Amino acid sequence: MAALTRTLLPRARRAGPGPSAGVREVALVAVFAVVALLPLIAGDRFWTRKLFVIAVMSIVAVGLNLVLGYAGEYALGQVGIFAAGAYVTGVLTATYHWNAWLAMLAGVAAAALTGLVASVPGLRVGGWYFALTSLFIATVIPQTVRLAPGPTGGELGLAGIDRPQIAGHPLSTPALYILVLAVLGLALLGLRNLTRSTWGLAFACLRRGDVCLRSAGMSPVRVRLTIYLFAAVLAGAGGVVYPFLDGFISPDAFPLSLSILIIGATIIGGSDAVWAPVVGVAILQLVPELSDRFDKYALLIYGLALVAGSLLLPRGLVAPLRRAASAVLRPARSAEPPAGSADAAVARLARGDGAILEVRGLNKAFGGLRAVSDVSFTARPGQITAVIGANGCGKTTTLNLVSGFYRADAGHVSLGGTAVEGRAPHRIVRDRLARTFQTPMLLTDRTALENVMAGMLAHAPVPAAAAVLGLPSARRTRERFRRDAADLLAFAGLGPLAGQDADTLSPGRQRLLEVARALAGSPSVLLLDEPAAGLVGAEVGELAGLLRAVRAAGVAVVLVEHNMRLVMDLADHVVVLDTGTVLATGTPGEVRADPAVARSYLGAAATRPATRKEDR
Amino acid sequence: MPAGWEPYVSALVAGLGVGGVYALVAMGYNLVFRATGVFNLAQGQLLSYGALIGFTLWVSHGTPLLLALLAVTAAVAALGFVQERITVAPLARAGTNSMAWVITTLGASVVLENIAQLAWGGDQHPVPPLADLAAWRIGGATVQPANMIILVTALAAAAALTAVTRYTRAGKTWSATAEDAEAARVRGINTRRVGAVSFAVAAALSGFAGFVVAPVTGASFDMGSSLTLAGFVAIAVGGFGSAGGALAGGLIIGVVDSEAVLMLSSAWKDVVTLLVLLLILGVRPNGLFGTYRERVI
Repeated sequence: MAALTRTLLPRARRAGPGPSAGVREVALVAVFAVVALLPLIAGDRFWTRKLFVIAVMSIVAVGLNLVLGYAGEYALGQVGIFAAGAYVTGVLTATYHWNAWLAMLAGVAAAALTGLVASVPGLRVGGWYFALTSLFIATVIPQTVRLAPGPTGGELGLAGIDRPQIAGHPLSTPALYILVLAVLGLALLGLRNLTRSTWGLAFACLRRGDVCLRSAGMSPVRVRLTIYLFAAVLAGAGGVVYPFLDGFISPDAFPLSLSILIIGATIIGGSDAVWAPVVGVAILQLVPELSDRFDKYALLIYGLALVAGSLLLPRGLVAPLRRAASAVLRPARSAEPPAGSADAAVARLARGDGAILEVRGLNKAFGGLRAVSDVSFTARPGQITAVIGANGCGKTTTLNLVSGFYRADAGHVSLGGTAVEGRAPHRIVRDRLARTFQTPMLLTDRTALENVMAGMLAHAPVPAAAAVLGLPSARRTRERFRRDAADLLAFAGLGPLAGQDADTLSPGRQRLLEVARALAGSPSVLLLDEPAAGLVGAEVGELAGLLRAVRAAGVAVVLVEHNMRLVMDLADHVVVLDTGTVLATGTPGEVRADPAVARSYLGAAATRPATRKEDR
Repeated sequence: MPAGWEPYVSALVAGLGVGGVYALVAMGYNLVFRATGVFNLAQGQLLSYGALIGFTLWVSHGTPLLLALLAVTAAVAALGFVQERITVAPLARAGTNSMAWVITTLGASVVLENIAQLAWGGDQHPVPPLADLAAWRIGGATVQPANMIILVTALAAAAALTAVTRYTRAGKTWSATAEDAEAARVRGINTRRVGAVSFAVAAALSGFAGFVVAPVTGASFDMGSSLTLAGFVAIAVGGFGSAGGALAGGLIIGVVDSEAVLMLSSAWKDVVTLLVLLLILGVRPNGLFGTYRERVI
């Protein structure tokens, strides 16, 4: 048991100030013990039942918080999965006379399966369509028992679900409560480990959007299935214990209002902690009881309290609580970021394979509009290849085609001789082609350090199971990410800002941060989409300095940019696009001298020697 | 499975009636969601107020039908406006990431339902047909006029909303806000007012719908809660965007429900509806009439 505790409760970071790890563990165990003994203190059947229900609903809600709160996925079908777990266990126990413990295992497995099946729409439809579909699935699943009234008891419900036994004695209600509480405790520890591991960054990326996740080299399908599965196992774990409370379940026990209660609890808690939904469930279950004395006005007051509470604390209850607690207990949210070394970052970048990016004959039309036709160019390691052209000439479309976000109608893209066209964008990132976006795709409420760490996800995958168990390998990977990210931040000149949230940085710094994150996977090719847009004065200089250093490290840089001074200053090779086709290629000098380019884009004045001086 | 075509036609007509109610709720969701990013979880409760106020005015006090209908629509519109001011407008500062509206509109639904219960009691109040028409018969099939009245109401509401959004200044203001609220603000549109008006219009629709559906379902304080989900499914099938989508989604779900009960059994109703929903979203991930954009970056 002690070994298990050590595994599940990783020690707090050594550098972190505040109470030592031992104190925190003891405090957690004490809280658990007090909550476990509550039925004895309350000493009455009603309150024991209430506590049991709160614990069961909490298990479901912490699972929902993982998908909804942490990953921003509207997988709202948790109550349906909960019902599947409850019914499979109930039917196996009551109708087929299985051993209750075995039936519970089968129930969790069935819930996991149900969760995966119910999540299929989430892989196809996005956002609110998935929300509505999964909510509907949640209410349909319990109704399906009416199709097989024989084994399931149908509409009237299923009775005679005998409790699991220990040494021939069925569990008492308080013992059942402690069992549920133990499951809840283990779930919270596992989720805490998971969200603090590198997977937590993957969830934050998913929350930001598929594009963010893919540019970190992660498959959205894989990350989605992983979290859906976790949430389903938790909903199932709550479900398999539930039928034993009364030995009876019916389809009416899982109405839409239960789904809304679980969703509400998750939102009331807020996604600032894995345990936040427990607070939400407790409030939603207890507040109506407290106002019992008002009898017929009870629900009215409950509704008013929901409105008033949520208006006062729109970000949930736990965020302000936590801020208050951390003000007392420990000054900083996390340990000081490690000091990084720019040289180490350069050394890692220079270890790249020096692959050449070759683009041949790319074509793409949107409807009748030919956005890109027959575009070819080559980007070599240790060089900056600029792609310029007027707005709407197909620069960004070309980047999207090369990085796999759009599928080309025709043409080839090869990376170090390997054809990559047609591959999914996250695969191409793993082939070591990284990119940035016109609008920085940053995790706004995460630190600069964590943003860079997100760029490493694809290159050092941690098995989700290892992350949940808090195995040393998972923690070592995170520590390595932290050190490597600190090196990159030092390289990008952002070292002192490592601990700041990304959205508190200036636009210029956000650009540098996005470049640092793109470099986190040690790419051989780096595509930059207008990195200087919106930058002022010295910020452009900082960016130019960083890009020179990246070039010097042997990376092939493709720069889409409107800032001509920057392009002419930095580029080794320039590709000029005009209405989707390549107008000219060459060195900056050659391109500048090309009369066709001058006419179409740079303006006739650019050819006059006098302008050269201004450019400098 | 019954023989002959008559039962299927009767079920089709009944389904179109029920589907008309779903469609009216879905149109309300669409109006409010596109303008404010909020699902009003109290939309169904607003509908029950239409039925209950209508019952009081028309059945209990003998108010002339048209006057009662106008008064009901205005009263529920005002209720929706007030609800928006209290439960949604104050959240504008909390930012678009906040999901606090789920709790505030849920709270509003609880409050509205309980006030209705306190005021009108827990019983279902029967409401006579709005017009004294005999049921039409097509061969052996029965067409209930009450169902037709609901269907016509839904069709008229969808047509009116479409015309308003296309041809009037107020409607275009709504469209601009729905398309891109930030761009609309830059162009000088008061998007908060658009949100409040959308709530009021959606509530007016629901109030009207409650009044016309009451002769079929009766008027009761809890008639709205079951419509919450049906409206969700209707909007998912039809697609976010237009009143036409909500109309199509509502009618499809209503007819599928009704025919599934006839052909299989009531136990199959939701399962068949789910299969239809998944089928439609499988082919068109943004619903039948939702807009789809390839550009992702």
